[in-house]
Amino acid sequence: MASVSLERLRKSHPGAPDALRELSLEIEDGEFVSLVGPSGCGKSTTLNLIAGLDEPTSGMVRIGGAPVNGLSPAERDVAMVFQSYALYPHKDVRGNLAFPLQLARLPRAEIDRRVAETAGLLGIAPLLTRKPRELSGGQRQRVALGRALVRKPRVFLFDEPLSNLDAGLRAQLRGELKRLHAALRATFVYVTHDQAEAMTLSDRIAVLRTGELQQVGAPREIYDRPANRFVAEFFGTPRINVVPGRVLGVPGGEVGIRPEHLEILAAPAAGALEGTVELAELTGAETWVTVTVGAEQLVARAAAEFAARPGERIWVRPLPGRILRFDASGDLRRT
Amino acid sequence: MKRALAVAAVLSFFLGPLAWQALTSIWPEAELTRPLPRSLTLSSYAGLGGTFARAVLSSLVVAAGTTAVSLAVGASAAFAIAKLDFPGRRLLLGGALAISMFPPIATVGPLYLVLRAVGLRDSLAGLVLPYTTFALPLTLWLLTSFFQELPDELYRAARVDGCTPWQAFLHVFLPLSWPALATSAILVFIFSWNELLYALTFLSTPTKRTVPVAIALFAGEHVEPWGQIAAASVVATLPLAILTLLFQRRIVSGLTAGAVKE
Amino acid sequence: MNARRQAAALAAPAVAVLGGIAVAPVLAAVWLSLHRSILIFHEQRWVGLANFRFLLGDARFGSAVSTTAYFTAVAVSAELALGLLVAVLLQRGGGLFRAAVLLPWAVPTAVSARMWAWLFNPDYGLLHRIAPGIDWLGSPRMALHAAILVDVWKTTPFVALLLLAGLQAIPEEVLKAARVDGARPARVFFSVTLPLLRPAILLALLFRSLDAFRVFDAIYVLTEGGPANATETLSIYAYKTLMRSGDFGYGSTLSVATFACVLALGLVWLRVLGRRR
Repeated sequence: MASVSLERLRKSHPGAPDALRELSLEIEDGEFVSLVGPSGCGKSTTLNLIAGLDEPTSGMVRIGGAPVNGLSPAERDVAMVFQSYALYPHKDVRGNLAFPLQLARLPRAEIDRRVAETAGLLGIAPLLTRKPRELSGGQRQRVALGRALVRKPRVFLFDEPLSNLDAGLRAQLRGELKRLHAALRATFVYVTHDQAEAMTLSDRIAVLRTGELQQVGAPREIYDRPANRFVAEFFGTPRINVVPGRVLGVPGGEVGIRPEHLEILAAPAAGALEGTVELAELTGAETWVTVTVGAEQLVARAAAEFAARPGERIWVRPLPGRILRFDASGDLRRT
Repeated sequence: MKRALAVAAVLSFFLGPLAWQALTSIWPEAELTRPLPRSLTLSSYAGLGGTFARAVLSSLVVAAGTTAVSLAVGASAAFAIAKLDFPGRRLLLGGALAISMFPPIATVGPLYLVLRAVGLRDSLAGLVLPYTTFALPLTLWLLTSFFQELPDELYRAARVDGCTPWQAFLHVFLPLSWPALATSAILVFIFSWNELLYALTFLSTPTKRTVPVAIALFAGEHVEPWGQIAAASVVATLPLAILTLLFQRRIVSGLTAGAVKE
Repeated sequence: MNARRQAAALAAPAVAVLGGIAVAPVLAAVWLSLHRSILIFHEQRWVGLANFRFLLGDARFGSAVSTTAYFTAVAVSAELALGLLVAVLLQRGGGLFRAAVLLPWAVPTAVSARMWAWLFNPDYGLLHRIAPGIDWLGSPRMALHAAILVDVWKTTPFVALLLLAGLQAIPEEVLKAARVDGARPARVFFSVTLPLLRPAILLALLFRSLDAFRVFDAIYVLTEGGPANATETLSIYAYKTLMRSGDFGYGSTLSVATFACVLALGLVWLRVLGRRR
């Protein structure tokens, strides 16, 4: 197991804007770190640089403290799980699991032992003689996971591994991944565009945008104290409300308030704003209410039984201490 | 009704001459003056003799050799062009395509001199390399398209698992490319079997001649032995006819691959 | 990076073959064309552009060019027209029909030329019994057309396949829309199908005209360039100069000239194709 250090990594292609601009990040040994951001933010590029599938234009990658620039993926002792599984179609499951070990020239007995051990751990032992095309999506992803596990690498890299699965399977495998991490205590670097996935799985989250690191921190911190408007808007469903400060009584700038931090009242009260119900969407467990306050629209989370209809008058009150103030450049203003 | 007529017309145009040649091959020599034979005979085939059999063997050797070499050289290059990043890869593919447009006559002179200089002039081995030059663009085109269709993630997975580019090619991509290899092999085999100019120029010993040369230079003592020529033609065409019948779908897809990709 | 070196190594054999066996000989031919080189006399001396000057005044070269151009124009037009018909038939034909149509393409050119020579034979040929009076291979005027017929027979299948691919690429809905708009089948074909087929047609024209300009096999076996050089194309003339006369100097000049013509033709077509994009 090892730590991963990214030191001022830059990646650019001639004639195109930088894919990565001076990214620096320290990942501790055994940590589960997610790289999160919209498409094009550089998260997959970063993963490729850690894996050795690509070389940085400038900057250094260290694994376990030692620089690995110029080393091939095999020499770095990292394993990767891909979004499309990338299983070898012409090999059966056993062949897929054994392949990296054969390349490393491990003795036959050791290979068989590890394959059996890994297959047992992931529950795919009965599938060993099947070909990938005969497997379901969830089974394929387990085999892809197994192919990484069987090598006992220093670092595990995940490139949006659950994106191709349906919601139910995704939730299930997410839980298994978390348990796996707890059991292995291995270093996991996980790329995803799904903020909920990042929140539930990670020890820490690194948020990227167009090649630049926006914020690194534990999920709680990212959510409660986002470094800027972009991070605030990226996490949380429904999205955080961002309005001009005067709407909530703050002089100047913009403010953000999360839907769950807006209290809905049937009658006026101190600190409450008057508005009109625009839309009420029942999601099952709760109702999302869109309220027009002045020229702005705010979304609030209410109980499922919420009964007001569009056009009715309503009052919303932000919870004290939950208002986030952003300055002109979008960064969080320290209060 | 109109369609059936058109089909019949097309078929008789394309197959008619072949059928007539097959008929001629079993037509007794003496009765060639008559509109139709009164009896049928296999004497034309019998008269072909060992020389023609040796020609068939020569063609087989050259065609098989060309197929093997062009596939070996082409597959690895196609993989590199499709999946790896090296300078000049697009130039290689484009250059290969341009080379396939060269008139063979432009290279025949110097090649003759070179082959003569290295002692390969009157040999079957000396044919394989020039043939490969014309087989290679086709092989490269077919295999590169095929490899490009295979997902890039497969290559990345192989690299992370510990493969060098060569190992990724050998253990992962090559085993997956049998369909494209088969199509290339068939097309290259047919082209090699049919080639005339180089074989005519470089081979001089009658026993080394390939089938097209043998048929081109077929000569009787006094009159053209049309019956025997027909018999030789049938023998020359038969293996290709079988290949075409069996692999019609592959051949069609291989020939049109370039057109569709355009 | 090591991976890049490995990549180059994988491609190196192909580069070596193409460079050594295709590119180098062409360059060598250019070099030879600047010499006077008769093989049997072991003669080789530099003459600069003298061969090319001779070329410009060589009547035989002029007629070879016009013969080749005529051959190309007529053959390719015929193949295109016939190929279009066959392609339409192939669309709904079965595998057996396709294999049958493919057969002429698979037959060695030498074999098919012999086969047609037999059909053309003035004494026993089938075509003579059907239409006596036409001396196919004996009269200079007919001989070239006989060669064209052989070429059309052999290569129409290939053109048909290219056009078939183009036809299959036309989305079915476009044709249906035309029918719904009230166009009759013939109208649909000329107003919708053909224009959409243009890329495939241009591609077929490109391949075929370059091939036809390089023609050698069929003519060599059929007439060897006769009678009286009536069917002598550029390749035949160059071949005879090289191999029969052993004149590698002027023979190379002719080869280079042929190459230049093919190159020019190719560039013209690419320009036409390119403008379409």
